[in-house]
Amino acid sequence: MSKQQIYWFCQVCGWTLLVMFEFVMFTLEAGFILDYFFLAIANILLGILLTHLYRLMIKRWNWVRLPFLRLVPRVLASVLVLSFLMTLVNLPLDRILLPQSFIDEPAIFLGYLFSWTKTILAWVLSYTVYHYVEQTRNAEIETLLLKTSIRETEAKVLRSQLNPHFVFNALNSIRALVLENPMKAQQGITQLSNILRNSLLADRRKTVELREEIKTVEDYLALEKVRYEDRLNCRLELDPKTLYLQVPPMMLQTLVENAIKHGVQKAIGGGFIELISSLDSHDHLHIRIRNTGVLGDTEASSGFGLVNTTQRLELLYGPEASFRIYQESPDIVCAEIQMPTQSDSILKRTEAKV
Amino acid sequence: MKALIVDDERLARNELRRLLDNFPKIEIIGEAANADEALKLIDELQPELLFLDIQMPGKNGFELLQAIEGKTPEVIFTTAYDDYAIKAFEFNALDYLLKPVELHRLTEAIHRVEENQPHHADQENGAVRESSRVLGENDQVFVKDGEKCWFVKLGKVRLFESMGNYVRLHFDDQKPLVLKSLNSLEDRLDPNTFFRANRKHIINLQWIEKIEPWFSGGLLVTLRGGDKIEISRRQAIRFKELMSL
Repeated sequence: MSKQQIYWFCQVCGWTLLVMFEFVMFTLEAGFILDYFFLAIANILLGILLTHLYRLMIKRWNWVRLPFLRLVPRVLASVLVLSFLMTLVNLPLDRILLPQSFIDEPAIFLGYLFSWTKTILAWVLSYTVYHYVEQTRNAEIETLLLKTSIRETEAKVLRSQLNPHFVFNALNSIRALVLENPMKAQQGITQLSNILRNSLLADRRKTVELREEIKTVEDYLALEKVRYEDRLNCRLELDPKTLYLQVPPMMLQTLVENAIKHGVQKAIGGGFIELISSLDSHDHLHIRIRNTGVLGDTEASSGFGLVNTTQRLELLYGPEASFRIYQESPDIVCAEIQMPTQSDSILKRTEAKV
Repeated sequence: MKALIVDDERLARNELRRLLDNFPKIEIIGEAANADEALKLIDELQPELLFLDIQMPGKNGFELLQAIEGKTPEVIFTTAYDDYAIKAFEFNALDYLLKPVELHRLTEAIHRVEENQPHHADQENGAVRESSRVLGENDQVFVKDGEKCWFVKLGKVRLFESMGNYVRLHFDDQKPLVLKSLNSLEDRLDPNTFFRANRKHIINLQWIEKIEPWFSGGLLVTLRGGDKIEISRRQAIRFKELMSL
């Protein structure tokens, strides 16, 4: 049942029950009077009409958005006006229909007004409170949705963001190479532009082939090698079967960058980084990044990057993917990613989202 | 001016060296790839100027400065990109260069250092080396307290106050804490300028405004800026000796 239907159901049933209850009580006491029956029907219709007008009004001027203190006087005024109208119709008719049982008390008008106010107040209060609560809940949902979309944007930004420290250091090294080794300088510029291009493309694509991502990582490592020279040793060991599998863009790049920033860069004597890709027996893609370093300070400084990696995997693959980072031996840190190779799961999740 | 380049990247050092060729006044007396190498060279060669990278393996640039035992040379930081570090500089109006370094920025930085440099043409070189362990009022030290850091000319410090394992420096309107004991500090301060007033305080004699007799043979010294420090009876005797001819 739609909200609209519920509303009309409540209107008709509510008013009918209310008025008919009084009519039956009256009939039991004074016998059936046809005119009085018509008056009851008219009252039902009038009640529905007036309260419906109130509903239109509350919607038209969006009263539920008003602060509480400004809402209260408006609601009370409407209740008074509505009951006044009901009294205005009922009082003269009652006087004509039932002159015999009508004792002309001095405060009869107030009595009528009071009894109708009770009824109308009950209606108006329940309706307005319901809407007030719903409105507040909707506002909450809106804020939540907004928060989610902000987080998504943040994730996008993070995905495409290269560490500026890296970019400027690379430029500085290349500048020194211009005189020292022009060939190497040219190479450096090409590598840097490849990385920049990929990082700019990253937020437009959900996944890329592993070999593309590896290319970025290789360029990145080549540039870092220019900076660190002998202090950086890198080794890539890739299973050819894995090269065409889909992976999230810039994810490995971020992890490799982390590994260098927190591992190799901190080691005075230099260090190594190793990237291994393989397929396991369940056809899952396994990627391991091992590097010199101590995990303790990694958690504090790059926790956000690691959390982001976990979240991206979760969003794309759900529970089928996993990411963990641990201290393999006193001076070696290992990060491990496992993800499904089928790209259907990505499609499924994308559809479910839409 | 004798300068030392501290940067963990060979290419970055080369690049800076090449840029510094334009300044015949700057004589590069050495290069260091990390803080430990740098500390050794600073001690041996007594450079007057450091070109210092902030992010390095082992100790970073700030930690290197904190580890310098004697007086701190002038410093020009070089950094690729570092919000945090740059914030620290802005507070102190220290100079820093962003890599890749622009020649005209380097020129500016060097000019500023030269202006800052006390004209010690009359100082013999031998004397400088001899007194390198003792800090006089013209020497500066690097102080870092939490996020903020300062280069302080010791002449500006009016009071050292012992706070448990720390010493609080009072200069201008700043009061940073440094992890040092007052005793070890006293050994390194020039006794002609800095005086141990009591168990808890070392005062700068140049900043004394008023001296009054105090209980049981002690003295009460008022420093410019309003700090009142008591000189204990034992130290009062030494103080009088020092102040009289």
